[in-house]
Amino acid sequence: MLSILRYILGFAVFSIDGKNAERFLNLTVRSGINIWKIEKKTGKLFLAKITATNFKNLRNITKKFKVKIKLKSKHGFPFIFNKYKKRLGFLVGPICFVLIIYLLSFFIWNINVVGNKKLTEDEIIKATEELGLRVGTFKNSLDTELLEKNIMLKLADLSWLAVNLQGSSAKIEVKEKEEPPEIVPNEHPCNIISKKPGQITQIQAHTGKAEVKNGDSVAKGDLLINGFDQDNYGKSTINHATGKVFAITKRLLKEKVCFNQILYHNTKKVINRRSVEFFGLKIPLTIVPKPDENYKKELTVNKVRFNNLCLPIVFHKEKCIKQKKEKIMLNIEQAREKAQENLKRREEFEFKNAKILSTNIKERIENGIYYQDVEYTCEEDIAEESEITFEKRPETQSKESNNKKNKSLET
Amino acid sequence: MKKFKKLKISQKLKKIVKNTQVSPGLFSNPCHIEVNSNEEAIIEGCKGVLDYDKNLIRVDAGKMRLLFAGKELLLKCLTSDSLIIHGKILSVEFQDLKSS
Repeated sequence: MLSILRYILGFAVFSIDGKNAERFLNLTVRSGINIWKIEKKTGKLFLAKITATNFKNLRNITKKFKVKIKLKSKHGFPFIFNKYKKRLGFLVGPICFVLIIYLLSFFIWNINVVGNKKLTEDEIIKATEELGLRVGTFKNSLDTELLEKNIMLKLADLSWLAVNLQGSSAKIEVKEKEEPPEIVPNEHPCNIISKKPGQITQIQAHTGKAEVKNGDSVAKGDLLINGFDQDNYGKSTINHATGKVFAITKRLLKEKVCFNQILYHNTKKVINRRSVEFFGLKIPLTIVPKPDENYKKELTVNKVRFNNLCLPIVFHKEKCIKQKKEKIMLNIEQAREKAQENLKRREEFEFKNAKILSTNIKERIENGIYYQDVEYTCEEDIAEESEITFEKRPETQSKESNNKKNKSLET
Repeated sequence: MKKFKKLKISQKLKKIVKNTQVSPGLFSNPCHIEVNSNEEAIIEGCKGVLDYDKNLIRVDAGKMRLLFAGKELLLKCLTSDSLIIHGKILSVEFQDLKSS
């Protein structure tokens, strides 16, 4: 820290030569001039460092002693400044820099999107760009309230949106619509029905009366646990039926693989196209024509950041690799392997909550295509809640029935 | 007469310090030396440098002289009442002016 301060203030390295060098040093120090890094060189020669402002004061002290002082070198910021102060560019440059930064602060430098889950950042930015908010837009021309309303109208999946201008960056905070899952509330009465056809293996009726037994076959929509319950005294209650019903179900997955396949290989021919985007204006840095369809493109985008602040300078690098087409003919073994690989991937997704008990594989070849149909026998929970709805009886009918009852009572 | 009185007071103070086992620097202003390993010595309350060589530095510490012997000795910092010696210090010698 001290060395940095000395560099900012500037310091000089000087030599002291003479008989009374030590006495000279003592007197210099007593007169309030600090010296550091005093080195003894050959003979009576000393090297020492002193602040730039104090060096001139040394002359007065040297007169009293028979010592010679000589300036060896000068270091620090004031000397560098003196060296370049005649050059106009050094003065104009910083002024221009400050002026440009001030002018650029009137424009939007970058757009950040926060809070999106389903919608991608690109989708939201594209919508805002169409409505006038893009990198390089003049800040004062923006009506954020109107913009918010227009974006909300454009993107139906949003439930709330706010456009906040923080300095030169626009922060778009969004909240997406969340559709509530279809769950029958606990206070509403419901039955448990089957969502798939199968053979019952296990029933766990927590609330309600089980209407099926182990080994029963059920179709889709059949009643499994009844919400209506009647006790031994004939009193009936309507409950929110809960429970789990496990059954053996059958599912079919189909997969097809074409014997004639086209493979793409990367060749050594690579074209790199670079460009820089400044306030939305794309400037190419390489003069290379656009490659044809035989090239695979890999795009990398580097945003220039300074202290977590995104600057309006974006570097684009497009790596185009030439592809070589190769037609290959798969044999049955390879086609089967590929189909099984695909099926395995689908199994992980499709049978998340099911236990596979057995599989039955059927293969066939038609028109140069290999087909594999796999029938899975699984055990899974087939219970699904179904709300019990009540229909209101028409008022006229109820009145008539009341009248009839009264008449019968009179007779 | 005044000098004699002063001497008497200082001798009495010394006696008190000796008996009460208080730090000697409490009443007088002696030289304070701090040595970090054998690489650096910080001397506060000194009055200047008497001799300066690569292998030997003699410091005026008021009532005594300090003699630092070593290799590649360097005066890292020098102010009116303190200095820092840097280098490989091999020995420190105290020379009492009264005895010499």
